Amino acid sequence: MSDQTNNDEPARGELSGFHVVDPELYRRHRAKIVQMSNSHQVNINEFLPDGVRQRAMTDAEIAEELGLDLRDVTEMRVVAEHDEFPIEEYEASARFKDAAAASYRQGGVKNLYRGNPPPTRQ
Amino acid sequence: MSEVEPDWDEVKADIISRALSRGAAVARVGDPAALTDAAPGQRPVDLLPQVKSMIVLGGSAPRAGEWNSPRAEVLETVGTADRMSALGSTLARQIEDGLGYYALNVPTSTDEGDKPFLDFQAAAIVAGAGTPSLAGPVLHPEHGFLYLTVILTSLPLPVDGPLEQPACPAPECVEMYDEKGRTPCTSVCDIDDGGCLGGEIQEGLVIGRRYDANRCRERVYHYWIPGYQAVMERALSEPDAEKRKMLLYGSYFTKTMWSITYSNVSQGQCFECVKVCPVGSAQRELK
Repeated sequence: MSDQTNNDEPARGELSGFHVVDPELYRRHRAKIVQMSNSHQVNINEFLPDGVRQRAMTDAEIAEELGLDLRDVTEMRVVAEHDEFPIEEYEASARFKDAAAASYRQGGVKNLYRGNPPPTRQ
Repeated sequence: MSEVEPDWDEVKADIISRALSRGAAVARVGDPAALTDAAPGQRPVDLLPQVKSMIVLGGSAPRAGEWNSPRAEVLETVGTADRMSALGSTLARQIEDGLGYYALNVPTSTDEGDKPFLDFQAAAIVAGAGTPSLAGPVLHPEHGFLYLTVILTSLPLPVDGPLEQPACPAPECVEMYDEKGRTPCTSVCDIDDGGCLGGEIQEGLVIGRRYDANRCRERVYHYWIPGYQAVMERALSEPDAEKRKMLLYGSYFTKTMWSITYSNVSQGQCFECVKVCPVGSAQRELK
């Protein structure tokens, strides 16, 4: 097949017939890409003055900085964005909203949710 | 015979009037060249090469009754962003059919690389449809949280520009921060306690804002694509067929599938930071 390299390894992006990233490449660069991208934002708001503002890097900028292929960076970013929390955290989200809604019902802004679900939801 | 130059102020006023009469709460015009952070491919000129103006519409926020429902599940399933998108399509058609200029209602779906086609929030800020907030969504000083749509057009409309006074922080939030070191939004979804939001207020301004986008995605889209993927990953790696059945036929995955099916009303599933926000709260308090 033309997609095979000389050592019979599949060509990058052709592991499953569409562009996928080598898991080893992902493991090696995941943390850095998450840090450089939009995932954990600090002071990105547009109204902040130069020098204070820290906008996220684009995929192209990350690729250049890390010496990687742009499409690989995009794929690793997308996978990492969805790979941070296991399914248990999604269940926890439902309980968070239940507790926040219950707290709001009891007193609106004056009774803000403090992190522990009300007794009825524990 | 030379063509008479239209009165662009009148053209703009007519477009804005149409938008407002058809349900937009806010209609403003921004300079597309002001989106200087946009990456190549996501700049207005990449979507419509002839673009000269950017019309930003905001509206269709949840109703007061929905905000006040004690069931979080109500707000999870009443997203109405598609109404603004439909209004944008109507306006774009009127511009093209009536005025003969290009008008592109920016797709509200997802572009390649799991990104939006355009940063709607940045467009809203440069057009003055709202200002950035500690919670995250662009907030309009009167209406608070609004769904947005953006129409790019080759019409050379006069630009409104950004609002001069930020809607966030509200005076109540400054007062609460001075007393407790937190605002309503950072209290309800504290980034240091498993939530998404953090930041400080100094001299009435938000500084050091922190935002965990992945945590927010997991809460906003929790019965949706990311939740679906999380269950599928678990199910595909589960060797026990009976356990796989429990995962795939269980209530979480079932609700997720229903939410995806009714995707137009299920895309925004967490409103807790905005629910406690004083900006626009007068719209959410009725008898």
